[in-house]
Amino acid sequence: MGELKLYELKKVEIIVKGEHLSIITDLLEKAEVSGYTIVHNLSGKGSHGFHEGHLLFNEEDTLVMVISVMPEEKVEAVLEGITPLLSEHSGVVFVSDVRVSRLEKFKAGTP
Amino acid sequence: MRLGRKLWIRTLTFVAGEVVPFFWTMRNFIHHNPLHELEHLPFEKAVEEGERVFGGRGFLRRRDYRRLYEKGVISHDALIASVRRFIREEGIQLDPDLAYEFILRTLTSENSPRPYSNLYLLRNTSKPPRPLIDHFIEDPAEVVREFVDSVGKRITFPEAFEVFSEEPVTAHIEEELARGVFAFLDEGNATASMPGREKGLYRTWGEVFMGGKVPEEPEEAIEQVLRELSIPETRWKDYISLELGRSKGIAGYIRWRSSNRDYYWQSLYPADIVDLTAVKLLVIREVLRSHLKAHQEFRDLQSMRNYVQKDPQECYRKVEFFKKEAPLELVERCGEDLKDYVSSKAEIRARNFMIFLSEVLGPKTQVLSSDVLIELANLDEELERREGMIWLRALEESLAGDLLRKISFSPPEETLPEAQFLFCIDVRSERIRKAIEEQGNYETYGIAGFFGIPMAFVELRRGHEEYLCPVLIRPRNVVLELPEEGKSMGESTLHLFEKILHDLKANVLTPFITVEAIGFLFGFDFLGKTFLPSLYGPLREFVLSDRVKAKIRVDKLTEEEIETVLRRLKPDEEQKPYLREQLTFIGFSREEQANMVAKALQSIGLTGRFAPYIFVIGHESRSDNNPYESALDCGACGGASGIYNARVFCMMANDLGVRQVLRDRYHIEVPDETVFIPGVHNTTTDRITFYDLPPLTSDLERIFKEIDWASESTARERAVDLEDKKVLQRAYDWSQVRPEWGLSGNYAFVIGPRWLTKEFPFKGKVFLHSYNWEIDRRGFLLETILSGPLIVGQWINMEHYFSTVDNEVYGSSSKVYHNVVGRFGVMTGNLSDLRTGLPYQTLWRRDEPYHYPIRLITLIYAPFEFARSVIERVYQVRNLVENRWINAFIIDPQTGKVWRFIEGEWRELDIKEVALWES
Repeated sequence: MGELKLYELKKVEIIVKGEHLSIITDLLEKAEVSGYTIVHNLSGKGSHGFHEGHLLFNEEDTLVMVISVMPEEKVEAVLEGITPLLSEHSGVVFVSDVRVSRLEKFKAGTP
Repeated sequence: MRLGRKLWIRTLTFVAGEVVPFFWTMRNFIHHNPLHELEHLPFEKAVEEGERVFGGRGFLRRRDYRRLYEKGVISHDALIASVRRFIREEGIQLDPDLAYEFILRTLTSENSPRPYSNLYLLRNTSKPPRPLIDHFIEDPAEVVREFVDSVGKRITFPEAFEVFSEEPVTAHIEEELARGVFAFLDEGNATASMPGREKGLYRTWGEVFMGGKVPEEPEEAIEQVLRELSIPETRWKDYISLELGRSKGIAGYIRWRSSNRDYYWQSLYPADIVDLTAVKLLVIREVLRSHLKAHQEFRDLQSMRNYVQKDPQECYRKVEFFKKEAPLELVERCGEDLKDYVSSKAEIRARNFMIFLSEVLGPKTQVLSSDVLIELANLDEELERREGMIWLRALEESLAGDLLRKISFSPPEETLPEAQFLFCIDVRSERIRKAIEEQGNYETYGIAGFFGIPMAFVELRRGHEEYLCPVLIRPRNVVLELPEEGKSMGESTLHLFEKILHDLKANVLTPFITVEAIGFLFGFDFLGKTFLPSLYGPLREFVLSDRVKAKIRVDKLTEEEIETVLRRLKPDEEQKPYLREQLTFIGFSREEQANMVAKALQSIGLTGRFAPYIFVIGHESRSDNNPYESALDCGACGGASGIYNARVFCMMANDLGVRQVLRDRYHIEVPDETVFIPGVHNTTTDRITFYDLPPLTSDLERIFKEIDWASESTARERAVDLEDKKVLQRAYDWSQVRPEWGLSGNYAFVIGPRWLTKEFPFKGKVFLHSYNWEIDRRGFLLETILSGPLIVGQWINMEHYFSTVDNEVYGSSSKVYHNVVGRFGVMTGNLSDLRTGLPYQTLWRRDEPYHYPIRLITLIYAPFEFARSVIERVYQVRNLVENRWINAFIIDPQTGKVWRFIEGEWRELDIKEVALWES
């Protein structure tokens, strides 16, 4: 098996309320991040108490997570861009190091 | 522009825009809370915010409440209790008895004169004590400083500019904005459409109205203008909120549109709140520029501040006139000697206050000390701001007491009814349910009128996809109405698919028809943005020319059918997998069907004792020339008729395969002879029409006859409220401004068995959701009812509340002056902001509110700890309870206690106490 070359990138995970999802996806698109994954219906506990996932007839009242991978230089812009939302509403952002094998998948639209 | 900065401005603008509630297109009117985005705040705080941002009142006027009090709708005891609570909570320094007397008399006595009114004429009185006069003395410099400081907090820059320059700029700005934005948003109403709209609102507007002389990006424009006006960056968010709040109709529509990317017009001509903010700020800049020559000193906030310091006297005069506070006899002197003016004004106020006080408190006014007088003046001012809450609580207590007295606490014996009826929870169902129950051994249930079946429906005759479910959810299945042609998929169906695809490719868009895309089934990405769907016209021709009989396709397409369709459509190789996937969205699998039927039946507690006939009745309305027709339709079906959901539900529930799964997996045994029959209740005429009927039996015939009787008696009853015997005629009269009262009057939401509320008529004002806690061990059913139907009920309730208390701002004012704009909304006269909310005629009659505006009384029949824990875990509902957007009550069947959430906690009431309540 040939050796797999891995490249260093950043993973940004954003958890917000369902109603703010469109702000996040708009932000990532305007930042020209090449893609993202959305996880709906999260349950969990935070400073606002417990949040139930999987409500049958209400999709707004749940938490969502948006995961995206991007080069380091974009992380700063995304973090700056998200501040007005987080200073007003509940939500968390995690940034961590990741390594990917196919760099071109995550570099689209780099300025 | 730097990327981070651009994103920061974008998000800031989105967050600033959140204060404006969504406005749905009028074709699907959705009742919503105009302060929905402020529900994270306690009710009273949110009302204050609403006043700041939208300029709307949160309560009725004193004279309207007083009239309700005089009519006995607000009981005397409830008002007393409410006044006492206010005194307790406010920690008022005055002697409580005096404060109590002062407040009660002020609220209830006839024509109390306002001490600050500039219309109030001076009468002969002795000179008020000096300290009281001093109390009323203002510092002009302070007044103008405060006024300028309020820019960006309470008023916009152009509003302040208007006061100082005395030029009518604000109306001009709103008009220019509406003109530009409506040209862009038009959905086929205009004879000529704005060119180049696919570039988005900001760019198109910039090119057409500004000749392209605008900053490249909307974010840049926002930053530029706010800097030019020297609004401090820390205040930008609030400033943008204010500007958007002043245009809340347009802003709400654009917010809704941009959050629905598959909305046809949005996908074609995109617009978002950042675009709108940029456009508005540029309009402001242009309009102000045309006046700046004469008013350089007010060109930005900083210059305004400097000017106010330089010439406080002139500024004070202008602010005085703006606030309409100058007493009539001083108007002439206002511009002259400021010191003299200020002290004369204080004396007039003090005199006015003394007259007012002696009318309220009588002779004892003469013996009150100056300190007490000043305390009373302060209390009066506080009361002016806060009395709404006193009245509201009193009204709520009166109506809650009335409701609780009508509740029955002992379950009746159960017998097998001859037929069962499922009606929507809509308040209008309660009347006809009661009428049907009175006809014989019939049992009725309340359930959200989409019967738990969210679907995107494509009606053959209309040819576009409609989401038939509450707006809180997105359907995942498509149901098609197809030409009827035996068991297998026939020629016409294939022809239909072919037509749809052909039209998608043909790229003909006629501007004269409303086309909502079949976005879900044949999404835009599938064919790329180059192909525009134009289904309606050709499809309609096809349908109408052949006079095809239609049937509803509930089941999924089989593999074989999908292959047949694909063979016929001959898509390109790369489109094929996508199209195949799209076709799998059609219909529901047997398991999905059984699951939905089971969930619906469980949620209302109907899991055994099935009658031979079960009628599933959706509802719709009928009116002519009424842009608000959809507001009278079924809210649970996205503002459409409920008939298709009822029909689909019955098809599922009658399917033998589905019943097998119901038996095996859900232990719900529906007898073979039981048949589900769909129907629709027309709420304007009270007729019920049935569909997909089984063979007629003599029993069934008799039942139909009795339903007819029930319809008639309901219509007769409603005729009393409408003060019109010709109920039917109203449905077809195109000049009728009030085809029916609709949901007006709604005030309570009951979750529990029917017998709780069966004894009394509620005159179509209570939402009833059937529920049996005994089969809801883990509370999932209650959770579903709270997070879905209750939320929708609360939206309806709050829409009615705010449209009633301030019909000009939160409602849409009189229907008589409405003009439809762009096919999606209405405006007043020739050009105005989009009118949101409900029209005057829906809520008021002869200058009195027909709708009593209170916060929804929500009553849950379940053990206290259990119900409370379910409320706790549904965040949105917990928030509504804790922030007092609803009045929550729990009736505990195990202990017989009534609990309510009041003053921040759950408190226990004794049922005996409830029964004695103000009796």
